[in-house]
Amino acid sequence: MSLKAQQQPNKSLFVLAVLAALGAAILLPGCSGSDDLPDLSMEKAKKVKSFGDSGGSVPDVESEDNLGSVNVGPSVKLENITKNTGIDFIYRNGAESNHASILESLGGGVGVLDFDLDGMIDVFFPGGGHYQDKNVLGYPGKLFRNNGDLTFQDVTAVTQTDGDAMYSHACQVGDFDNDGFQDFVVTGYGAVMLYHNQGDGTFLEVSKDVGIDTTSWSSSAGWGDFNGDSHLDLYLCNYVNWSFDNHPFCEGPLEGQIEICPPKSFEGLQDRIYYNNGDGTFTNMVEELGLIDDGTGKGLGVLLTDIEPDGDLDIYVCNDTTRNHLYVNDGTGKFKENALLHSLAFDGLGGANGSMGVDVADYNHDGRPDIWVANYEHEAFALYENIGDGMFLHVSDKTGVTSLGGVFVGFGTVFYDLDLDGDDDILVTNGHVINYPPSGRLNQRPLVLINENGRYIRKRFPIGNYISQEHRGRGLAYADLDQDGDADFIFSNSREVSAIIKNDSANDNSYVRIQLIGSQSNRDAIGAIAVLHTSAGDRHKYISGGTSYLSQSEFRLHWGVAKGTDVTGMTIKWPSGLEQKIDQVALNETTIILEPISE
Amino acid sequence: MSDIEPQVIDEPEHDQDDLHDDQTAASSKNTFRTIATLLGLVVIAFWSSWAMSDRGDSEIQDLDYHVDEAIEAIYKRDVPSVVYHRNALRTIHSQNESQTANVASELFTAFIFYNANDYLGSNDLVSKFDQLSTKLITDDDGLNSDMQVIQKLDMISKCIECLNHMELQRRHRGDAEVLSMLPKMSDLHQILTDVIQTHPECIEAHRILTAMYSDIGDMDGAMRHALQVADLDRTDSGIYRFMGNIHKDYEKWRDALDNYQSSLERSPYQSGQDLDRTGREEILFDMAEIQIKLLEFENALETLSKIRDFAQTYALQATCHYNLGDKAKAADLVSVALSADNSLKPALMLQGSILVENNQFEEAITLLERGRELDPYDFELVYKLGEAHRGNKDNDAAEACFEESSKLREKREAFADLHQLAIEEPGNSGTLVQLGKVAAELGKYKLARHWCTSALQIDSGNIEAQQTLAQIQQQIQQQSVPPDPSTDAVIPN
Repeated sequence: MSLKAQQQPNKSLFVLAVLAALGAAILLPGCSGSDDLPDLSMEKAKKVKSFGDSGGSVPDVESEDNLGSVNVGPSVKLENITKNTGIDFIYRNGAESNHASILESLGGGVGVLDFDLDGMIDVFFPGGGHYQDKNVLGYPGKLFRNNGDLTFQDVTAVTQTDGDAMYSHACQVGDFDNDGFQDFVVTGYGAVMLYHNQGDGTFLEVSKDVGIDTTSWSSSAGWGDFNGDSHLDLYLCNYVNWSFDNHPFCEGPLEGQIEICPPKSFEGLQDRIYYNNGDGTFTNMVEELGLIDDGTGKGLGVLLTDIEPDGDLDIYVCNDTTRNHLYVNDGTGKFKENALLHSLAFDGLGGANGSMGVDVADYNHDGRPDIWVANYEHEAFALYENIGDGMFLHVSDKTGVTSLGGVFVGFGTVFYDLDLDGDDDILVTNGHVINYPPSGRLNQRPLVLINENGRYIRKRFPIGNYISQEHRGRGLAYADLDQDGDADFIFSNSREVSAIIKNDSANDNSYVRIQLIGSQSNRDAIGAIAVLHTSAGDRHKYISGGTSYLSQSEFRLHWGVAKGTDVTGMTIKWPSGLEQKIDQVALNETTIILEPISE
Repeated sequence: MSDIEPQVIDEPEHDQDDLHDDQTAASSKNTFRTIATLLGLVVIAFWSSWAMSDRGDSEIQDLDYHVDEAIEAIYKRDVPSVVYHRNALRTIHSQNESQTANVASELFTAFIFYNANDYLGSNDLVSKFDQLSTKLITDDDGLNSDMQVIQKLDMISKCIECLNHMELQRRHRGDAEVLSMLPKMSDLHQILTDVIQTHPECIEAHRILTAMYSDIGDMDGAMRHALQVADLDRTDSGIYRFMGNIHKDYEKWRDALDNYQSSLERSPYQSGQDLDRTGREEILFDMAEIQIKLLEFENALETLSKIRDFAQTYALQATCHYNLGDKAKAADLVSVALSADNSLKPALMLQGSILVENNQFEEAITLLERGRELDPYDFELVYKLGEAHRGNKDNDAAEACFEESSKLREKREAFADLHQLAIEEPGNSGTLVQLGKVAAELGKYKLARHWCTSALQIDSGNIEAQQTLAQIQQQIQQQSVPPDPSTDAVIPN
C-alpha cells in the first residue's frame, strides 16, 4: 500500500469530524440564527382609531411627480397678479362656527360681465355666508369694476349689488330683458337674488317681483332660451334638503372632531326652471315640465347647450353622487329626461360620480359638442365624446384623463385654447369638500390639461406659480380682463383669497375672437354655434348657458389659429335658426357680429 | 491461470535514511491527524450528548417549558411542534405521575383533533380537560406550583372550544336547526372577552374575536382585535393580509395597500391559496387591482411586473396600458389574456370597450353577452353591453341594458350601505338579514348564506333569517342559478 493510500482514510475522517463539529455547532439550540426581527413600525396601525376612520397612505402631492408629467413650455404663461389688482376677495362659508354643515362645502363662484358697457370686463363674487346660532345668514357679494389697466375698484355699494339676503353661491350672467345691459342671478340657500341692470351703473334686486320666488337651496344656474322666444329662461340646480332640522352628526377621524356629512346623508331637491314671459316676469315651469323629483337630483353643475345639435337648447345637470340628468328639448321647450340612453348619466362603467363642474367643446374636431365633467376623488374626470344624435361615449381612458389619477376633487372648469394651436385645452380648479379627508388633501393644485392630438396631457408649471400651489378651489371663469386678446382666469376659492391669473402666453399662433349680439335671438346669443372654417378643418364653438361651477365666463368666442393655418370663413348658427356666413374673418382682433334681421 | 504475471512497479530508489525519515515524518503527521480526528469526534459526541441530555432532561422535566412552547405552537399553527410537546408532557406524566402534565396533554390533543377537523372529538377532550383541571384546582392545597400553568391551559381551552364551535357553525351554516343547538355568538364572545381580560396577551383569543367580528360585519371590532394580534406577534404576516382583505372588501383602498405591503414586509414569500400562484403573487395582484381602482396605472404596472405572466396579469396590464395611451399594446395584451382565459372580466370589459370604440358593435355584443352569461349581476358589463347595442342601432336593447345595469348598481350600493350600517350597528341581526337578502339578489349566494348564518348566531330565533336562509339553500341546491363567481367577502381563514 502506498503512502498516499495510507494517508487518505485519516484525512477523510478528520475532515468529516470537523464538518460534523461545524454542523453540530449550527444545528444545536441556541444558535438558530439572527434574533433580530425587522423593525416593523406599528405607527400606522396604531394611528387608526376605528375601521371607518382609517387614513391610509396620503398621496404625496408635494412630490415632483405630482406636478404634471411635462413642463408647460414657453407658449403658455399664467401669472398671478391678484395683489396688484385691488381685488381682495375671500369667500367665507361660516366654518368658524364649527357646525360642519354640508352648506359650507359648496363654496362660491365668480361671474364676469361688462355691467357699464365701457368695454372692460368687470367681476362679481357672491359673498357666501355664516350662522347666527341656528340661523343661516348671508354675506354681501362684491362687484369690482375694471379700470382698464388690470386694476379694479370695489363698486359694490354704489351699484347696489351688496344684497345679503341669503347665504350665496353662484353668479350667472344673462341679459334677461334683452336691453343690452347684462343682468345676473345669485343663487344660494333659501332664496335667489336677481340683479336687474338698470343701465345707469346700478342694479335692482327684483327676484320676488318677477316671480323667481324659490326658497330652496340652489347651487349652479344657467340662462338659456328653451322655448325659442328669444328671451332668456332660467334653470336653477337645487342641491340637498339640509337644514338645522336635518343636520346629522358625522364624526371625524379623531375623537371630538366633527365632519361634514356626505351628500348621501340627504335627499336631493328638485331643480327649478323659470320661463321668461318676455315682460320682465317669469313663470315657474317645474310642474309643467316634469323635472325629476325622486330625490336623486343633487345638482351642482349645469350646462345649457344643443347636444344633437338640432337647433334647441338641452339641459345637462351634474348631480353629486347620483346619476346626472339630461333633459332633451323637443324643440318646443318641453323636455324628456334621457341621460341613460345618451350615456351621460354615469361614467364609462355605469357608476354614478360626484359631478360638479362642466363645460362643452368639440375636443376632437368632429363637429359635435363634447362634454367635460369634473368629478370627485377616486373618480376619473369624465370626457364624453359626442358620437352623433346626441349620443355619447365616455372616453376618459383613451384621452389620458383617467391616467391623471383619482386624487383630485374638481370644481370650476373651462375649455380654452391656451396655446392657440387650434384645439381646446382644459383648466380645472380643485379642492376638497370635507374637513378631514382620509385619503387626500384639503387644498389641491389646479390642473392645466393641454390637448395634444386628442389626448390630454397635464402640464407642469414652475414652482411658485399659482398652478403649482394648492388651493381650496371652487369657482373658475375666464375673461379677457386686459383686452390683450387672450382670456385671463379668475379663481374663486373657499376661505382663501380669490386669484386673478393673467394670461401672458405668447407664441407665433394667432387668434380669432367674436362677440355675438342677438337681435332675433336672445341678446347674449346663448345657444349660438359658430364654426370657423380653416385649412385645418372646421372648428366649432358654442355659446352655452351655465358651465363651470357656480361661475360664468364671458360670452365671447375665441379660437386659436396655429401658424400656417388659413382661415377661410365662418358660419354662425343663431339660436333663432338663422344661419349667417361670414367670408372675411379678422385675425388677432375681436369682431362684433350682429344677428341679421331676417325679413 | 493467467499467463500474465503481476507487474511489479519498482519503487524509485531512495536512500535508506531518506526513506526512513520520510516514513517517520509521514507517520507523525498521520498520528496527529488521527488524534485530532478522534478528539474532534469525542468533543462532538460529548457536546451532543451533553446538549441532548441537557435538553432532553430539562425538557422532559420542564412542564412549564413544554406548556409554553405548545401554546406558542398553537398560535403559529405549528401542529408538529404541538404534537412534540404533547408527547413530552405525556412522558412527564408517565415518569412523574404529574397530573398537570396529564391535563395539559389532553388539552393539546384537543387542539390536534381540531386541526384534524374533528371538532366534536376536540370538544370532548376540552370537556375532559375541564373536568380534570377542575379536580386539580379543587384538590389544590396551595402547595401546587402548577396553578399558573393550569390558568394558562384554561385560557387555551376556551380558545379551542370557541374555535370548534365557530367551525361547526360554518360547516352547518345552511342548517338552522343545527345552528340553534350550538352556542350563541354572544356566549362565545363573552368567553373570549373574559380570556382577554385576564390574559391580554392571548393572541389566539384576539384572532378568534377578529374572525367573529368580521363574520357579523363589525369591522371596528374586527380591526381592533386584528391590530392586537399584529402588536403581539410582529412576525405575523397573515393578520396584515387579513386586514388588507377587509379594507379591500370595504373599498378602503389606501388602507388595503398599506396592509398588504406590511404583510409582504413580514413574509415576502408566503404561501398562497391558489395552486398556481404564490401568496406573494396573490397579494401583489390584489395591490395591482387596487392601484387600478385608484387610477394609478403606472404604479399598477410596476406591481404587475413582479408577478409571473398569468392571463389575469395580462388583463390588468392591458387595462393600464390602455389608460396610459398605448392602445396597441393594450390590444395585444388583452388578446393574449382572452386566448388564455376567455372568462376574465377585466379582459372582457376592455376588449368590449375597444370594439365599441372601433364601431365593431356586433363583435362587442357577442363578447359581452358571453361575459353576461358568466356573471349576469355585473352592472359594469351590462352597461357596456348597452353601449354596444346602442351603437348597433338597437336602442330598445340598449335601454333595457342600461336600466338593468342601473338596477344592479343600485342593489350594489344598497349592499354597500348595509355594510356600512352593519359597522355602525354591530350585532344588529336585522341588518345582517337584509345584507343576506341583497347579496342573494346580486347572485352572491355563499355570501348571502354567510350573512344569514351570522344573523342566526346573534339571534337564533330570528324567523326572517331562518326563512331567508332556507330560500338561499334551496336556490343553491336547485342549481338552477348561475354559479356564484364571488367568494365570501369576509370569512377569514
